[in-house]
Amino acid sequence: MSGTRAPLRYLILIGAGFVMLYPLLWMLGGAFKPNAEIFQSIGLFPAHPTLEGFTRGWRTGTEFSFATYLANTFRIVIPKVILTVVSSVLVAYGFTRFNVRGSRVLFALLIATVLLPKSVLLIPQYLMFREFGWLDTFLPLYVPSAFATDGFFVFMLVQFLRSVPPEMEEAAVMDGCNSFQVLVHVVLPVILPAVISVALFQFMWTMNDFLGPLIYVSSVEHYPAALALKLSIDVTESTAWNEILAMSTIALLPSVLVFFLAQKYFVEGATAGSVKG
Amino acid sequence: MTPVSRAPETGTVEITGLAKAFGAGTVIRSLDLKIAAGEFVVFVGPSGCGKSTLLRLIAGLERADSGSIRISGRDVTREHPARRGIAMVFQSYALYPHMTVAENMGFALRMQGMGRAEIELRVARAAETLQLAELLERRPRALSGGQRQRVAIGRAIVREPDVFLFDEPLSNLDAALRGQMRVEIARLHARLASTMIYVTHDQVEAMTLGTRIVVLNGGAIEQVGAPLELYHRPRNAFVAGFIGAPRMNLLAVRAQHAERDRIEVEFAGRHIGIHGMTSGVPRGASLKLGVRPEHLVVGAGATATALCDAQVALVEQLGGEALIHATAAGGASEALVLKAPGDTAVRAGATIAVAVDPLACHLFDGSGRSLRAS
Amino acid sequence: MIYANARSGWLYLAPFLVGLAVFTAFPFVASLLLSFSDYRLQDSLEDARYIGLAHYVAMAGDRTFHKSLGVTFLYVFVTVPLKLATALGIAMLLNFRLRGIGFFRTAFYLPSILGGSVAIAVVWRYAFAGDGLVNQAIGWFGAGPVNWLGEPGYAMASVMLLRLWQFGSAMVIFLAGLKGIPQDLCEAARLDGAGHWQLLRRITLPLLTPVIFFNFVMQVIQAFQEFNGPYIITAGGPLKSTYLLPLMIYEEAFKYFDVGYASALSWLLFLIVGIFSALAFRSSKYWVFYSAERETPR
Repeated sequence: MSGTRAPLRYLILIGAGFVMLYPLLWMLGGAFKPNAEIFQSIGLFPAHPTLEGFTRGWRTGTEFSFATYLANTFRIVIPKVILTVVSSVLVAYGFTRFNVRGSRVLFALLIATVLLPKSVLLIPQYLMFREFGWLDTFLPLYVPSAFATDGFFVFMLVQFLRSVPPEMEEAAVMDGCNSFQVLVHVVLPVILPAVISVALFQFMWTMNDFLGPLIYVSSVEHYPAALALKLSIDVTESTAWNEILAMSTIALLPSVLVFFLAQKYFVEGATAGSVKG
Repeated sequence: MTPVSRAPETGTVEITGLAKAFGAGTVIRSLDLKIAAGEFVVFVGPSGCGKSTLLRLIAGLERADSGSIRISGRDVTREHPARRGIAMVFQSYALYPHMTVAENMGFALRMQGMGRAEIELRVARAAETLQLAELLERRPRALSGGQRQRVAIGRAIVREPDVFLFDEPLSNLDAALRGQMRVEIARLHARLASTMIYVTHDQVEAMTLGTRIVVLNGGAIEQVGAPLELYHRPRNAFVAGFIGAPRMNLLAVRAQHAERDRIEVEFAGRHIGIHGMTSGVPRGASLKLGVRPEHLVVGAGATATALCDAQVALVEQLGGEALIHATAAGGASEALVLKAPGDTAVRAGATIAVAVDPLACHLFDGSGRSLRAS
Repeated sequence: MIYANARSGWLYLAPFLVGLAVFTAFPFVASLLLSFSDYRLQDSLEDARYIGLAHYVAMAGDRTFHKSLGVTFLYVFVTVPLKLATALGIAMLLNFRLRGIGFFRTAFYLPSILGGSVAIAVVWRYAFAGDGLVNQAIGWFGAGPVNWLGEPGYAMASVMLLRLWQFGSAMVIFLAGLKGIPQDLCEAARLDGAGHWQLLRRITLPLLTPVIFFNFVMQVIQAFQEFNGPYIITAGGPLKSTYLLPLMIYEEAFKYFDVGYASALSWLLFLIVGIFSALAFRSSKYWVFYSAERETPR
């Protein structure tokens, strides 16, 4: 548009971008600094780069290395993502491609669950899982996802599905498919971008989940990285900052990697449910 | 591809008492229709007339509220679309974007559990018929509109159905391509000799492709017949106005005289006698006189009777012919459209004398019904 | 394709129905019942005693609760408008054929992906500590160090800043909304003589109202449920100045084991969010403008 204002625009954006990224860069720089240096200089680049933050932090103060905690994190995240994708696709398909009586009411209920503050369900769910004997396991963290309890993803897929013209599926029916075959052979390949977005978002959200593991996981050997990090800042007091920053860096690494690999799915997925109005 | 020798009833379609309503609105009223094997039947009509719904009912994509459908002598009213012996070509082609052309065409056969060798054979044959052989490994997004349309047709051919269904297949193509594909579809019908049911809103496609045309309006059949029959002997004003372009002129006239098979009407002070009509029309009745633009003549003609004088408002030059838009003098100043040869000297603003051959006239009563004696 | 066979439809919806009943509806009702009972976490369920509205009455007199409620409202009503304004502003700046869009997208969006994690909250805590990043940066400009984590007002500011840092997700949605505004509308307006601000006020903002509404509702609901940041950065202190309701609910149930009271608190939070949502949806009729949607008949 206005060519004269472009430099100003770039200036503001670059400045804002730098400010936004600074905490991350600080964390990264601090992870590679020897501990004392962190307090001395504000500079991003370590004067004496070292890996001691990583090696000491990895060992953590506990009897387990950070590897255990990362593995636990993935033991939660992977099943949860898979179950979410499968159940969300099935339910979204049921909502959009079938004339089920009362589906409008059910859809309104779906939206209500998205808007519902989860804290009101927290305690009874805990008591329920306690009755099941599932405390200190990962089951309470991913089993509900098999039942499409993350309504936001169903909503996202429903919006996406509604914009897919039905003729292709009609052709598949005429070619002899039942509804499940249509779903697998024709619908899934077409909605794959949205499904990938669902998987990515659930991956990120679950990686960040803290309250869930906090109330359900009690033994340290089952701690995911989130709990382990919290433990280490309680334990390590204020001294070994470089270790803390190093562990934080490692804990964030999977998310950052996934983000860079799949950037476009994030952006497209984030907007899929919202812009239709 | 030579047609397989078939049992006599193969490819026949018989619809009895078919009705369908969506919510509160009736879309198809109790409808009866018989289609013989090998016919090219066109469903035509204005938007909302129910032609697409009727096609989808035959296809099995919608379930009828009442009535029955028989295909090749079998009652298929409750049958799954894939087991009716039909194949459909969709308006938007509905190709599977993640499959190659070959996979698209072979998908139905794969679902049927056919062996790979047989599938490849059928796909290759269909591809050759439609000149798709070099495109077999491409994905739909790498194809042009016309090519996609041919793949959609190919997908239908491989299933060797008794009846082909076409749902406005050419609507998404540009005008030039449409003309080309029209010819290809006509050739395809000649080659396969299969029954084809074709839905369109374009009456040119209807006239050129169909062996029989079904004109639908408001969920009911207005008339069924060969194209020229609908052209020369429309049963009512609706069909008369729908078939033929530009539209037939419909002028308000008054009945003067009704004899055995001749009715004399008065228009703009002049009288015209029209033969071949039913009797029993009271004097003074308000009727509609229908004349196609191509049957109106400027000035006088050998067989033409003077109709009226008219003031020319606009002349549309098409090159080979011209369309004259005029207003009739006297009476209610009705609008007239005439077809004239391209080198006509008529200009806007001129006053012309309009004449017509009474044999080319149609008469319709107050409710639009043709007064022609059958 | 709408399948006539509704029975299969129920099969596909079955997981949702089970989940709704078992993991949502049942806990929802149970939570209400618990809020009417006196129940300690370590007891077995049979020992729960019905005490009516006693917890709610107790809430009215509970100073900690008042403080928590207050700081929660403060948190929500400060961060949400600021976050939305920032997101919209940056989105509008980005809504041009920019070079290096990848860098900007990373810079603004990555924080919102990582920001909800414990790792970032930990980093934040160290960044705002006495000799951490922020004080070092302020010192560079000559101002004195601030006791971010020790002073009530500043502690809240540090927690709020973490939420503001995550404006990227809202920004991306705004950006998509902006791109959805038909170019010909803007051009027609410009031909009619509209200036920059008028274009913004009369065309851009009205057409963005559905997106603004969506973001607004989602952000408020999320803000009311904030837990990680305050818990890890300030542990609800100092002096409960960052003791947001979700923290209080957690501690009442899992630290003080007063499950009944915690349930009552959570139901109150639900009511607050519910009333807010209802008001928001009601008011949307007046200020959210949906462009006409074309419905295809089949």
